[in-house]
Amino acid sequence: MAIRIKEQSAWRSQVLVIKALLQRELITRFGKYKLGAIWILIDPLVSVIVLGIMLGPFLGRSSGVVPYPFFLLCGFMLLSMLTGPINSGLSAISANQGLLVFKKVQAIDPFIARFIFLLLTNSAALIVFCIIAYWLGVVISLNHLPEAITCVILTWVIGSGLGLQLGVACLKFTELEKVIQYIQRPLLFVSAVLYPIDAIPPEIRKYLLYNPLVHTIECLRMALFPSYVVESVNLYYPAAWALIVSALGLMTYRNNRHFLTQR
Amino acid sequence: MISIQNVTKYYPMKGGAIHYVLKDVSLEIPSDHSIGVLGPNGAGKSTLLRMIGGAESPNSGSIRTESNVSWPLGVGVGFQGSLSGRQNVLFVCQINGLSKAETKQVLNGVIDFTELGDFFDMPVKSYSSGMRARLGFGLSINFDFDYYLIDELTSVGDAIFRTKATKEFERIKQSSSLIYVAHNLKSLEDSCQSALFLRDGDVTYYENIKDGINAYQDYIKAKSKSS
Repeated sequence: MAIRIKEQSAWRSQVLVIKALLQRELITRFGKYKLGAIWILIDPLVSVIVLGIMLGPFLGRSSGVVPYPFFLLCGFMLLSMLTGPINSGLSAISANQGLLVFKKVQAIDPFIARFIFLLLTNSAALIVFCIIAYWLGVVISLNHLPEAITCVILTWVIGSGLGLQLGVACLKFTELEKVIQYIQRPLLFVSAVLYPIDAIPPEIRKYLLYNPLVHTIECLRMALFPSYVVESVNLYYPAAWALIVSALGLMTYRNNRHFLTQR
Repeated sequence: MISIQNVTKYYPMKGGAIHYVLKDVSLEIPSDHSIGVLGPNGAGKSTLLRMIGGAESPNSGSIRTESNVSWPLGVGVGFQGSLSGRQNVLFVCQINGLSKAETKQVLNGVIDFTELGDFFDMPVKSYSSGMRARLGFGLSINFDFDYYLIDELTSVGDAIFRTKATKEFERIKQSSSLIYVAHNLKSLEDSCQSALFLRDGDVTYYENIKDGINAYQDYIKAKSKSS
Protein backbone atom coordinates (compact mmCIF):
# COMPACT_ATOMS: atom_id res chain seq x y z
CA MET A 1 0.00 0.00 0.00
CA ALA A 2 1.30 3.41 -0.94
CA ILE A 3 1.59 5.92 1.88
CA ARG A 4 -0.65 8.94 2.10
CA ILE A 5 1.22 12.06 3.21
CA LYS A 6 -0.48 13.66 6.19
CA GLU A 7 -1.14 17.37 6.34
CA GLN A 8 1.03 19.21 8.84
CA SER A 9 0.97 22.67 10.32
CA ALA A 10 3.33 25.11 8.63
CA TRP A 11 5.48 25.27 11.77
CA ARG A 12 5.78 21.49 12.23
CA SER A 13 6.51 21.09 8.54
CA GLN A 14 9.34 23.63 8.67
CA VAL A 15 10.83 21.99 11.76
CA LEU A 16 10.86 18.64 9.94
CA VAL A 17 12.52 20.18 6.89
CA ILE A 18 15.21 21.96 8.90
CA LYS A 19 15.94 18.80 10.87
CA ALA A 20 16.33 16.81 7.66
CA LEU A 21 18.55 19.53 6.15
CA LEU A 22 20.71 19.58 9.31
CA GLN A 23 21.22 15.86 8.96
CA ARG A 24 22.11 16.36 5.31
CA GLU A 25 24.74 18.97 6.34
CA LEU A 26 26.18 16.53 8.84
CA ILE A 27 26.46 13.79 6.22
CA THR A 28 28.07 15.95 3.53
CA ARG A 29 30.39 17.89 5.87
CA PHE A 30 31.79 15.05 7.93
CA GLY A 31 30.64 11.83 6.29
CA LYS A 32 33.56 11.69 3.91
CA TYR A 33 36.24 12.05 6.60
CA LYS A 34 37.60 9.19 8.68
CA LEU A 35 37.88 11.44 11.73
CA GLY A 36 34.35 12.76 11.11
CA ALA A 37 33.12 15.49 13.43
CA ILE A 38 36.48 15.73 15.25
CA TRP A 39 37.41 18.21 12.50
CA ILE A 40 35.20 20.76 14.27
CA LEU A 41 38.02 20.90 16.86
CA ILE A 42 41.02 20.28 14.62
CA ASP A 43 40.33 23.15 12.20
CA PRO A 44 40.53 26.01 14.72
CA LEU A 45 43.31 24.26 16.65
CA VAL A 46 45.56 24.08 13.60
CA SER A 47 45.01 27.78 12.84
CA VAL A 48 45.72 28.72 16.44
CA ILE A 49 48.86 26.61 16.62
CA VAL A 50 50.23 28.01 13.36
CA LEU A 51 49.42 31.61 14.31
CA GLY A 52 50.58 31.05 17.88
CA ILE A 53 53.99 29.87 16.70
CA MET A 54 54.29 32.72 14.18
CA LEU A 55 52.97 35.60 16.24
CA GLY A 56 53.46 34.35 19.80
CA PRO A 57 56.99 35.76 20.13
CA PHE A 58 55.79 39.25 19.11
CA LEU A 59 52.26 39.50 20.47
CA GLY A 60 52.31 36.77 23.11
CA ARG A 61 52.79 39.18 25.98
CA SER A 62 50.10 41.61 24.87
CA SER A 63 47.33 39.35 26.10
CA GLY A 64 48.50 39.92 29.67
CA VAL A 65 47.10 37.49 32.18
CA VAL A 66 45.37 35.29 29.58
CA PRO A 67 47.60 32.62 28.01
CA TYR A 68 48.05 33.63 24.38
CA PRO A 69 46.75 30.38 22.78
CA PHE A 70 43.41 30.71 24.58
CA PHE A 71 43.31 34.42 23.88
CA LEU A 72 43.70 33.52 20.18
CA LEU A 73 41.15 30.71 20.35
CA CYS A 74 38.46 33.06 21.71
CA GLY A 75 39.01 35.46 18.86
CA PHE A 76 39.23 32.70 16.33
CA MET A 77 36.00 30.96 17.30
CA LEU A 78 34.03 34.22 17.11
CA LEU A 79 35.66 35.11 13.80
CA SER A 80 34.42 31.84 12.35
CA MET A 81 31.04 32.40 14.01
CA LEU A 82 30.84 35.46 11.74
CA THR A 83 32.51 34.30 8.53
CA GLY A 84 31.09 30.76 8.71
CA PRO A 85 27.46 31.80 8.15
CA ILE A 86 28.48 34.36 5.51
CA ASN A 87 30.38 31.81 3.45
CA SER A 88 27.87 29.02 3.88
CA GLY A 89 25.06 31.43 2.96
CA LEU A 90 26.75 32.12 -0.37
CA SER A 91 26.28 28.52 -1.51
CA ALA A 92 23.16 27.59 0.50
CA ILE A 93 20.84 27.67 -2.51
CA SER A 94 23.15 26.19 -5.13
CA ALA A 95 24.15 23.31 -2.83
CA ASN A 96 20.51 22.40 -2.20
CA GLN A 97 18.96 23.09 -5.60
CA GLY A 98 17.91 19.47 -5.99
CA LEU A 99 15.95 19.56 -2.74
CA LEU A 100 14.11 22.83 -3.41
CA VAL A 101 11.86 21.00 -5.83
CA PHE A 102 9.86 19.72 -2.86
CA LYS A 103 7.05 22.08 -1.96
CA LYS A 104 7.81 21.73 1.75
CA VAL A 105 11.38 22.94 1.33
CA GLN A 106 11.22 26.73 1.22
CA ALA A 107 14.17 28.70 -0.14
CA ILE A 108 15.02 30.03 3.34
CA ASP A 109 15.29 26.57 4.91
CA PRO A 110 18.78 25.71 3.59
CA PHE A 111 20.01 29.02 5.02
CA ILE A 112 18.46 28.39 8.43
CA ALA A 113 19.76 24.82 8.55
CA ARG A 114 23.30 25.88 7.66
CA PHE A 115 23.31 28.74 10.20
CA ILE A 116 22.05 26.46 12.98
CA PHE A 117 24.63 23.87 11.99
CA LEU A 118 27.44 26.40 12.38
CA LEU A 119 26.08 27.68 15.68
CA LEU A 120 26.02 24.15 17.07
CA THR A 121 29.44 23.06 15.80
CA ASN A 122 31.26 26.28 16.74
CA SER A 123 29.64 26.43 20.17
CA ALA A 124 30.54 22.80 20.80
CA ALA A 125 34.16 23.54 19.86
CA LEU A 126 34.23 26.61 22.11
CA ILE A 127 32.88 24.63 25.06
CA VAL A 128 35.44 21.85 24.55
CA PHE A 129 38.26 24.41 24.41
CA CYS A 130 37.03 26.05 27.64
CA ILE A 131 37.00 22.66 29.36
CA ILE A 132 40.54 21.96 28.13
CA ALA A 133 41.67 25.39 29.32
CA TYR A 134 40.14 24.82 32.74
CA TRP A 135 41.78 21.41 32.94
CA LEU A 136 45.15 22.95 32.09
CA GLY A 137 44.76 25.35 34.99
CA VAL A 138 43.76 28.53 33.14
CA VAL A 139 41.51 30.67 35.35
CA ILE A 140 38.11 30.60 33.65
CA SER A 141 35.07 32.10 35.30
CA LEU A 142 31.47 31.04 34.78
CA ASN A 143 30.12 34.03 36.70
CA HIS A 144 29.60 35.93 33.47
CA LEU A 145 28.15 33.06 31.48
CA PRO A 146 25.12 35.07 30.23
CA GLU A 147 27.46 37.74 28.81
CA ALA A 148 29.62 35.07 27.17
CA ILE A 149 26.56 33.46 25.54
CA THR A 150 25.34 36.88 24.41
CA CYS A 151 28.69 37.53 22.69
CA VAL A 152 28.48 34.23 20.82
CA ILE A 153 24.83 34.67 19.82
CA LEU A 154 25.24 38.29 18.69
CA THR A 155 28.19 37.39 16.48
CA TRP A 156 26.24 34.49 15.03
CA VAL A 157 23.17 36.65 14.35
CA ILE A 158 25.29 39.27 12.57
CA GLY A 159 26.94 36.53 10.49
CA SER A 160 23.60 34.90 9.68
CA GLY A 161 21.93 38.19 8.74
CA LEU A 162 24.81 39.01 6.42
CA GLY A 163 24.88 35.44 5.13
CA LEU A 164 21.21 35.53 4.16
CA GLN A 165 21.45 38.96 2.59
CA LEU A 166 24.65 38.30 0.67
CA GLY A 167 23.58 34.77 -0.27
CA VAL A 168 20.51 36.18 -1.99
CA ALA A 169 22.42 39.12 -3.49
CA CYS A 170 25.13 36.86 -4.95
CA LEU A 171 22.54 34.90 -6.92
CA LYS A 172 21.63 38.16 -8.66
CA PHE A 173 25.10 39.64 -8.92
CA THR A 174 27.64 36.84 -9.25
CA GLU A 175 30.61 39.23 -9.06
CA LEU A 176 29.73 40.04 -5.47
CA GLU A 177 31.01 36.67 -4.33
CA LYS A 178 34.57 37.63 -5.30
CA VAL A 179 34.28 40.98 -3.53
CA ILE A 180 33.10 39.29 -0.34
CA GLN A 181 36.09 36.96 -0.41
CA TYR A 182 38.50 39.90 -0.66
CA ILE A 183 36.79 41.87 2.09
CA GLN A 184 36.97 38.92 4.44
CA ARG A 185 40.72 38.43 4.20
CA PRO A 186 41.83 41.38 6.35
CA LEU A 187 39.14 40.62 8.96
CA LEU A 188 41.62 38.43 10.86
CA PHE A 189 43.95 41.40 11.31
CA VAL A 190 41.47 44.18 12.10
CA SER A 191 39.17 42.26 14.46
CA ALA A 192 41.25 42.04 17.63
CA VAL A 193 41.68 38.31 17.07
CA LEU A 194 45.46 38.54 17.40
CA TYR A 195 45.87 41.40 19.90
CA PRO A 196 43.86 43.23 22.57
CA ILE A 197 42.18 46.30 21.10
CA ASP A 198 43.60 48.50 23.87
CA ALA A 199 47.09 47.76 22.55
CA ILE A 200 46.26 49.77 19.42
CA PRO A 201 46.95 53.56 19.49
CA PRO A 202 43.70 55.51 20.06
CA GLU A 203 43.78 57.33 16.69
CA ILE A 204 43.64 53.99 14.84
CA ARG A 205 41.53 52.24 17.46
CA LYS A 206 38.55 54.53 16.94
CA TYR A 207 38.27 53.24 13.36
CA LEU A 208 38.70 49.60 14.31
CA LEU A 209 35.88 49.97 16.84
CA TYR A 210 33.38 50.36 13.99
CA ASN A 211 33.82 46.62 13.50
CA PRO A 212 31.23 44.87 15.72
CA LEU A 213 33.43 41.78 15.92
CA VAL A 214 36.01 43.72 17.97
CA HIS A 215 33.33 44.33 20.61
CA THR A 216 32.03 40.76 20.82
CA ILE A 217 35.51 39.21 20.86
CA GLU A 218 36.80 41.46 23.63
CA CYS A 219 33.58 41.11 25.64
CA LEU A 220 33.81 37.32 25.38
CA ARG A 221 37.37 37.41 26.73
CA MET A 222 36.29 39.67 29.59
CA ALA A 223 33.41 37.33 30.41
CA LEU A 224 35.54 34.18 30.41
CA PHE A 225 38.78 35.48 31.94
CA PRO A 226 37.94 37.50 35.06
CA SER A 227 41.24 39.39 35.22
CA TYR A 228 41.16 40.51 31.58
CA VAL A 229 39.89 44.08 31.21
CA VAL A 230 39.27 46.16 28.09
CA GLU A 231 37.66 49.57 28.33
CA SER A 232 36.64 50.74 24.91
CA VAL A 233 34.11 48.00 24.02
CA ASN A 234 30.42 47.31 24.78
CA LEU A 235 27.66 44.94 23.70
CA TYR A 236 25.07 47.56 22.64
CA TYR A 237 26.91 48.37 19.45
CA PRO A 238 27.05 44.76 18.12
CA ALA A 239 23.43 44.28 19.29
CA ALA A 240 22.37 47.17 17.05
CA TRP A 241 24.28 45.56 14.19
CA ALA A 242 22.58 42.23 14.81
CA LEU A 243 19.15 43.85 14.74
CA ILE A 244 19.80 45.83 11.57
CA VAL A 245 21.52 43.15 9.48
CA SER A 246 19.05 40.41 10.38
CA ALA A 247 16.15 42.71 9.45
CA LEU A 248 17.87 43.61 6.18
CA GLY A 249 18.60 39.93 5.51
CA LEU A 250 14.97 38.90 6.01
CA MET A 251 13.77 41.80 3.87
CA THR A 252 16.16 40.93 1.04
CA TYR A 253 14.99 37.33 1.22
CA ARG A 254 11.31 38.26 1.24
CA ASN A 255 11.62 40.53 -1.78
CA ASN A 256 13.49 37.91 -3.80
CA ARG A 257 12.05 34.62 -2.63
CA HIS A 258 10.28 33.85 -5.92
CA PHE A 259 13.44 34.45 -7.84
CA LEU A 260 15.41 32.02 -5.64
CA THR A 261 13.46 28.92 -6.63
CA GLN A 262 13.79 29.66 -10.34
CA ARG A 263 16.15 27.47 -12.24
CA MET B 1 -9.34 19.86 -8.85
CA ILE B 2 -6.46 22.23 -9.43
CA SER B 3 -7.53 25.77 -10.04
CA ILE B 4 -5.18 28.12 -11.86
CA GLN B 5 -6.24 31.74 -11.61
CA ASN B 6 -4.80 34.64 -13.62
CA VAL B 7 -1.35 33.12 -13.51
CA THR B 8 1.47 35.01 -15.14
CA LYS B 9 4.99 33.66 -15.22
CA TYR B 10 7.94 35.25 -16.95
CA TYR B 11 11.71 35.02 -17.00
CA PRO B 12 13.99 38.00 -17.43
CA MET B 13 16.27 37.56 -20.43
CA LYS B 14 19.66 39.06 -21.24
CA GLY B 15 19.39 42.71 -22.20
CA GLY B 16 16.29 43.44 -20.13
CA ALA B 17 13.79 41.60 -22.34
CA ILE B 18 11.11 39.46 -20.71
CA HIS B 19 10.09 35.98 -21.82
CA TYR B 20 6.52 35.11 -20.94
CA VAL B 21 5.79 31.48 -20.17
CA LEU B 22 2.19 32.07 -19.14
CA LYS B 23 0.29 35.30 -19.64
CA ASP B 24 -2.76 35.78 -17.42
CA VAL B 25 -3.91 32.17 -17.68
CA SER B 26 -7.00 30.86 -15.87
CA LEU B 27 -7.81 27.18 -15.96
CA GLU B 28 -9.30 24.34 -13.96
CA ILE B 29 -7.72 20.91 -14.12
CA PRO B 30 -10.19 18.14 -13.21
CA SER B 31 -9.05 15.31 -10.98
CA ASP B 32 -11.00 12.44 -12.48
CA HIS B 33 -8.81 11.76 -15.48
CA SER B 34 -5.28 12.12 -16.80
CA ILE B 35 -4.02 15.03 -18.83
CA GLY B 36 -1.27 15.22 -21.40
CA VAL B 37 0.65 18.47 -21.75
CA LEU B 38 1.58 19.41 -25.31
CA GLY B 39 3.69 22.19 -26.69
CA PRO B 40 6.87 23.04 -28.57
CA ASN B 41 10.25 23.19 -26.78
CA GLY B 42 10.48 26.12 -24.41
CA ALA B 43 6.73 26.67 -24.27
CA GLY B 44 6.84 26.29 -20.49
CA LYS B 45 5.54 22.75 -19.96
CA SER B 46 8.11 21.95 -17.28
CA THR B 47 7.63 25.35 -15.65
CA LEU B 48 3.87 24.76 -15.49
CA LEU B 49 4.50 21.41 -13.81
CA ARG B 50 6.96 22.94 -11.38
CA MET B 51 4.44 25.60 -10.46
CA ILE B 52 1.62 23.09 -9.96
CA GLY B 53 3.97 21.03 -7.79
CA GLY B 54 4.85 24.07 -5.69
CA ALA B 55 8.55 24.02 -6.58
CA GLU B 56 8.29 27.46 -8.16
CA SER B 57 5.81 30.27 -7.70
CA PRO B 58 4.05 32.35 -10.36
CA ASN B 59 4.93 36.03 -10.70
CA SER B 60 1.27 36.87 -10.21
CA GLY B 61 -1.98 34.98 -9.81
CA SER B 62 -2.52 31.82 -7.80
CA ILE B 63 -2.57 28.05 -8.12
CA ARG B 64 -4.87 26.43 -5.56
CA THR B 65 -5.72 22.86 -4.79
CA GLU B 66 -7.10 20.79 -1.94
CA SER B 67 -5.59 17.69 -3.50
CA ASN B 68 -2.37 15.92 -2.73
CA VAL B 69 -0.01 16.74 -5.60
CA SER B 70 3.32 14.99 -6.17
CA TRP B 71 6.58 16.81 -6.76
CA PRO B 72 7.42 17.12 -10.46
CA LEU B 73 8.97 13.86 -11.57
CA GLY B 74 11.51 14.06 -14.29
CA VAL B 75 15.04 13.21 -15.23
CA GLY B 76 17.22 14.21 -12.31
CA VAL B 77 14.52 16.28 -10.67
CA GLY B 78 14.36 16.30 -6.92
CA PHE B 79 17.59 14.67 -5.97
CA GLN B 80 20.73 15.95 -4.33
CA GLY B 81 23.75 14.63 -6.23
CA SER B 82 26.05 14.52 -3.22
CA LEU B 83 23.70 12.26 -1.27
CA SER B 84 23.15 8.58 -1.97
CA GLY B 85 19.87 7.22 -3.28
CA ARG B 86 19.05 5.95 0.19
CA GLN B 87 19.83 9.29 1.83
CA ASN B 88 17.66 11.10 -0.70
CA VAL B 89 14.77 8.73 -0.02
CA LEU B 90 15.23 9.18 3.73
CA PHE B 91 15.18 12.95 3.26
CA VAL B 92 11.81 12.81 1.53
CA CYS B 93 10.44 10.53 4.27
CA GLN B 94 11.73 12.88 6.97
CA ILE B 95 10.30 16.11 5.58
CA ASN B 96 6.92 14.44 5.21
CA GLY B 97 6.94 13.25 8.82
CA LEU B 98 6.74 9.52 8.13
CA SER B 99 6.96 7.07 11.01
CA LYS B 100 9.77 4.52 11.28
CA ALA B 101 7.58 1.71 9.96
CA GLU B 102 6.38 3.83 7.03
CA THR B 103 9.94 4.86 6.20
CA LYS B 104 11.00 1.24 6.17
CA GLN B 105 8.11 0.37 3.89
CA VAL B 106 9.07 3.14 1.44
CA LEU B 107 12.74 2.10 1.49
CA ASN B 108 11.88 -1.51 0.71
CA GLY B 109 9.43 -0.47 -1.98
CA VAL B 110 12.04 1.74 -3.66
CA ILE B 111 14.73 -0.95 -3.47
CA ASP B 112 12.37 -3.48 -5.05
CA PHE B 113 11.22 -1.23 -7.85
CA THR B 114 14.49 0.45 -8.82
CA GLU B 115 16.74 -2.64 -8.69
CA LEU B 116 19.67 -0.28 -8.16
CA GLY B 117 21.60 -2.81 -6.06
CA ASP B 118 24.82 -1.37 -4.64
CA PHE B 119 24.19 1.89 -6.47
CA PHE B 120 21.46 2.66 -3.94
CA ASP B 121 24.21 3.59 -1.47
CA MET B 122 26.28 5.56 -3.99
CA PRO B 123 25.94 9.32 -4.56
CA VAL B 124 23.15 10.12 -7.00
CA LYS B 125 25.59 12.12 -9.14
CA SER B 126 27.19 8.81 -10.15
CA TYR B 127 23.86 7.57 -11.58
CA SER B 128 23.00 7.41 -15.25
CA SER B 129 19.93 9.38 -16.32
CA GLY B 130 17.96 6.15 -16.55
CA MET B 131 18.90 5.20 -13.00
CA ARG B 132 17.83 8.61 -11.74
CA ALA B 133 14.51 8.26 -13.51
CA ARG B 134 14.04 4.86 -11.86
CA LEU B 135 14.82 6.29 -8.45
CA GLY B 136 12.48 9.25 -8.93
CA PHE B 137 9.60 7.16 -10.18
CA GLY B 138 10.20 4.36 -7.68
CA LEU B 139 10.06 6.84 -4.83
CA SER B 140 6.90 8.61 -5.89
CA ILE B 141 4.84 5.47 -6.54
CA ASN B 142 5.32 4.54 -2.89
CA PHE B 143 3.32 7.61 -2.01
CA ASP B 144 -0.37 7.98 -2.62
CA PHE B 145 -0.98 11.23 -4.53
CA ASP B 146 -4.12 12.54 -6.21
CA TYR B 147 -2.01 13.95 -9.02
CA TYR B 148 1.29 12.69 -10.33
CA LEU B 149 3.31 15.28 -12.24
CA ILE B 150 5.45 13.52 -14.81
CA ASP B 151 7.95 15.30 -17.02
CA GLU B 152 9.47 13.20 -19.82
CA LEU B 153 10.29 10.48 -17.34
CA THR B 154 10.12 7.33 -19.38
CA SER B 155 12.04 8.63 -22.40
CA VAL B 156 15.42 7.85 -20.80
CA GLY B 157 14.63 4.44 -19.33
CA ASP B 158 15.48 1.09 -20.84
CA ALA B 159 12.85 -1.40 -22.00
CA ILE B 160 12.65 -3.06 -18.57
CA PHE B 161 11.95 0.25 -16.85
CA ARG B 162 9.44 1.31 -19.47
CA THR B 163 7.46 -1.91 -19.11
CA LYS B 164 7.46 -1.51 -15.35
CA ALA B 165 6.49 2.15 -15.60
CA THR B 166 3.61 1.45 -17.97
CA LYS B 167 2.29 -1.14 -15.53
CA GLU B 168 2.52 1.38 -12.69
CA PHE B 169 0.83 4.08 -14.77
CA GLU B 170 -2.12 1.73 -15.23
CA ARG B 171 -2.31 1.09 -11.48
CA ILE B 172 -1.96 4.78 -10.57
CA LYS B 173 -4.64 5.79 -13.04
CA GLN B 174 -7.23 3.69 -11.18
CA SER B 175 -7.31 6.13 -8.28
CA SER B 176 -5.27 9.19 -9.27
CA SER B 177 -4.57 11.27 -12.33
CA LEU B 178 -1.42 12.02 -14.25
CA ILE B 179 -0.35 15.37 -15.56
CA TYR B 180 2.02 14.14 -18.16
CA VAL B 181 4.56 15.97 -20.30
CA ALA B 182 5.99 13.93 -23.17
CA HIS B 183 7.07 14.48 -26.73
CA ASN B 184 6.10 10.95 -27.60
CA LEU B 185 2.50 11.55 -28.76
CA LYS B 186 1.73 7.84 -28.84
CA SER B 187 2.40 7.34 -25.14
CA LEU B 188 0.50 10.54 -24.32
CA GLU B 189 -2.52 9.28 -26.21
CA ASP B 190 -2.31 5.91 -24.46
CA SER B 191 -2.13 7.32 -20.93
CA CYS B 192 -4.27 10.46 -21.05
CA GLN B 193 -7.84 11.44 -21.88
CA SER B 194 -7.52 15.21 -22.07
CA ALA B 195 -4.86 17.62 -23.18
CA LEU B 196 -3.37 20.99 -22.35
CA PHE B 197 -1.73 22.74 -25.27
CA LEU B 198 0.83 25.43 -24.37
CA ARG B 199 2.17 27.96 -26.81
CA ASP B 200 3.18 31.62 -26.86
CA GLY B 201 2.20 32.23 -23.25
CA ASP B 202 -1.28 30.76 -23.60
CA VAL B 203 -2.90 27.45 -22.63
CA THR B 204 -5.85 25.70 -24.23
CA TYR B 205 -7.69 22.80 -22.65
CA TYR B 206 -9.00 19.99 -24.89
CA GLU B 207 -11.53 17.59 -23.42
CA ASN B 208 -10.39 14.90 -25.81
CA ILE B 209 -6.66 14.27 -26.16
CA LYS B 210 -7.08 13.52 -29.89
CA ASP B 211 -8.31 17.08 -30.51
CA GLY B 212 -5.35 18.41 -28.56
CA ILE B 213 -2.88 16.35 -30.55
CA ASN B 214 -4.49 17.46 -33.82
CA ALA B 215 -4.26 21.11 -32.80
CA TYR B 216 -0.64 20.62 -31.82
CA GLN B 217 0.22 18.93 -35.11
CA ASP B 218 -1.52 21.67 -37.10
CA TYR B 219 0.49 24.24 -35.16
CA ILE B 220 3.75 22.42 -35.90
CA LYS B 221 2.86 22.17 -39.62
CA ALA B 222 2.04 25.87 -39.81
CA LYS B 223 5.32 26.72 -38.05
CA SER B 224 7.48 24.58 -40.30
CA LYS B 225 5.79 25.99 -43.41
CA SER B 226 6.35 29.58 -42.36
CA SER B 227 10.04 29.05 -41.62
